[in-house]
Formats: sequence, structure tokens, C-alpha cells
Amino acid sequence: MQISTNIWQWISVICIFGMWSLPLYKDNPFYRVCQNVFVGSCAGHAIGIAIGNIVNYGFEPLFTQSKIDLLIPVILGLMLYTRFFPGVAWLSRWPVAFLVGVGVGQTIYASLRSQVINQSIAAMTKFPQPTVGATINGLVSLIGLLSILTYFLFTVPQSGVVRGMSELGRWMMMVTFGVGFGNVVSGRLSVLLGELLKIFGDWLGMI
Amino acid sequence: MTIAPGNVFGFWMLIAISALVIYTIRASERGKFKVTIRPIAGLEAIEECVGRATEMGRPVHFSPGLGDIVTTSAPDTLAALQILSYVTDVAAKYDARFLVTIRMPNVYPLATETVRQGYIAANKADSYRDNMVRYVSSDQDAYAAGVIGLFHQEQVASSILAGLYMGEALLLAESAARLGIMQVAITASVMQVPFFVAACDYTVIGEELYAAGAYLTNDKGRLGGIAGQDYIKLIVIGIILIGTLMTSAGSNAIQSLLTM
Repeated sequence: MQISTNIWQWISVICIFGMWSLPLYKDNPFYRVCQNVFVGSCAGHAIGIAIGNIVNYGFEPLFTQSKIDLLIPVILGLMLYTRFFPGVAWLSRWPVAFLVGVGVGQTIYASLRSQVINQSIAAMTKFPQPTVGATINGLVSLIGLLSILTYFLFTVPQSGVVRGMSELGRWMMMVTFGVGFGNVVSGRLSVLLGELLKIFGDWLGMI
Repeated sequence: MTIAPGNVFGFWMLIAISALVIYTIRASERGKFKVTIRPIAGLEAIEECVGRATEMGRPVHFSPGLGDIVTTSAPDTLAALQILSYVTDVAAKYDARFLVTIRMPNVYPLATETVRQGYIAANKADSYRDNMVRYVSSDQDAYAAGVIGLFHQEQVASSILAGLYMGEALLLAESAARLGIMQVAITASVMQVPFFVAACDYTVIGEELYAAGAYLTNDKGRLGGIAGQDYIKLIVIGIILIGTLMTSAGSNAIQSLLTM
């Protein structure tokens, strides 16, 4: 066993123990220190990235390459800070409105294309398929899709066929969620193994 | 000007969908037809959530998720902000201690404005505090760590998680469950729903997130929008059924039309 002499390995492992102390013990000062170090360092990193972006993609091209059109986002960005001045606070709503407009505009067609049209095309499979297994698989997919779509009909009265399909859709989703749960639990175990490797390998040198 | 090949059907479908939804919104607002949404238990529980926190004298927590307002997560975040507006109304009505945590900086001014306007509308402007809405971190794990810390330090009684969630969903929900916090999760993030179902008292799933604003406010226009979306779903079901039958009969006409 050869314990690491790298200070960053020590800090990393101390922070892991600090985070684990909350679920394994209870809220404690050790956890709070590690939590605040984590949140604070992430905030510092984000501020560094943001300042870098403003300088590299805003001020530098604006002043060295005379890209005057960049004044628009710079001004919109500055307008966000008017919320601190009550007399002109209303100006801060303009960049937010612009962001929401751009966001919705970018999303609306991409969502229609990928989530409605492409998925509808993918659902139109040929029956019967070459093997019995493939045919059953295709039928489960098709019926599952239609029943789950029916479950999400909010304004159609839930009676007769609609109710039956809706119930089937609910069961289909529960099965899917169960599969998803299992997959992610195994994924989380690999994260835990990564942490254990850091402790027993990188830090203690036992592995 | 021509429409790029492969996008012709999508373009006209977008126009048709928009026209249909605008029509149903207008028709519902004018009272031409009455829209009734089926009961959604999780949304009914929001008031109970806030009431419980009020009785215990402890805060109710709300998170509008991890999504932004400028990416594909925008619809989820905007839907979550509609729910935030309703929760603010209820919290102001009950004089509950209210705590909103934010991950994305872009969402912060919207959430702040939503909460502030909610308190003003409820004639409780004096009860509004700037620290009700708190930016935690734009890193998802740091956000989870910060919110879990707040659960402990502020002794939160109820938590409402709405919007887009990712890998930290279980961290938040499980930590809250261990503390006995009543939770309502409202998300369209398919991969995170299982964890919310396992750890929360109520889970509102999938498209119910987008219908929540209309359901909670009972606004005729929004209800009309939900009815319009239902018509679109029925049309899509019809297209899939016809397409499957035609494909099985050896014709790819529907696929060709959709990819036009």
C-alpha cells in the first residue's frame, strides 16, 4: 500500500467522504464545508467561462475586428442588469423576452420534425415481419405507442375503448419505467465503483 | 424562395397545427365549446403540499428543473414556470415560507418576476422577499448538492419538482424522502420518471407537465390549447394506423408524403 502524496487526491477523497457523510450519518459541518466548496468552485468556474466567452466572442471581435453587429447582444446583456435600478427595471424584460422567443422559435420545428414526423415514420412497420418474434415485437411497439398516446389525451372522455387503451398505456409505461430504473441503477453502481477506485487505487494505492 | 426538400410536409404541418391550436384557443375563450381535462391527482396535491408546509411553519420548496429557456428544454422550463405561478399564488394565499432554487442563470429573472408578480397579485407584496428565489449553481451535481443542503438547513416541509431533470433527479428525490419531505414531481423526462415514482408522494408524468398550467388555472384559452393538442394527437394516431396498413399492403405513400 502506498498512499498518494498528491494534495489534489487528498482533497478529492476528503470531499467524497464529506458528501457521503450526509446520507450515511446526517447533516454535519464537514458536509456543509464540502458542499459549499463544491457549489462555490462550480460557480467560480462558470464565472470564469462566462467572462472568457464575453471577452473572446464579444469584446475582442467587436473592438479588434470591428464587428459592429456584436453590439446588439452586448447591449441586450447589459440590459439584464437594469433590474437593479427601479426606474428602468422594465428594460431587463426585453432581453429575457428575446431569449424566450429565440428558444421557442428554435425548438418548435425541431421538436415537430424529430418527435412527431420522424417517430411516426419509424412506427409504420410492415406486417407480418420475416419472423414471428419480429412480428410480435413490432405489434408490441405499435400498440404500446398508440395506447400511450391515448393515455395522454386529456380532453377526450375516458370511457369505452379510450379507457381500455389508456389503461394499457399506463401499464406499458410502468414496464418501461421499470426497465429504465434497472438500467440506471447499474449505471450508478459503476459511478460508485469509480469513486471506490479513486479511494483504494489513486489515494491508498491498494489496487 | 423555396422550402428545403425534406421539410415541405413539416412546414405545412406546422402551419396547420398552429392554425388548429389558435382556433381551439379562440373557440374555447369565446365559449363555443367547453373543455374538461381528466383529473390529474398529482396536480391536486400541490395545494396539500403548500398547506402542509404552512401548518408545520416550514418552507415549501419549488424547483423549475434543470432546463434552460433557449434550448430544446425550453417547453419544459416554460411549463414549469406556469406551475411556479400557481404555487406562488397558493403560497401567498397561505402565507407559507417559499423557497425557489434555480439552476440556469437565464431562468432566474423569469422565476423572480413570476414570484414577485404572484405576491403582488395576491395583495401580499410585503411578504415577498428577494431571497425567496435563489440561484444555486449551473452545474447539475453542484445544484443537487446545494438543494440537498437547503433541505436540511432550512428544514423544508414540502418540495415540488417541475420541469426537466437529469441524473440528479434521484439525488434530490431520495434525499427529500429520507427527511420525510412531501414531494410532488412533475416531469416529461422519461428516464427520470422511475426515480420520482419510487421516491415521491405524487408523480405527474410526460405531457401532463405541459397540461398542468391549464389544469391548475382553469384558464379557458389554455384549456382550448390542450384540446387543440388532443386533436393533433388523434390525427397522428390516424396517420400512424393508415401508414402501417398501407406499408403492410406494400405502399410507402405515407412515408413519402411525410418526408417530402
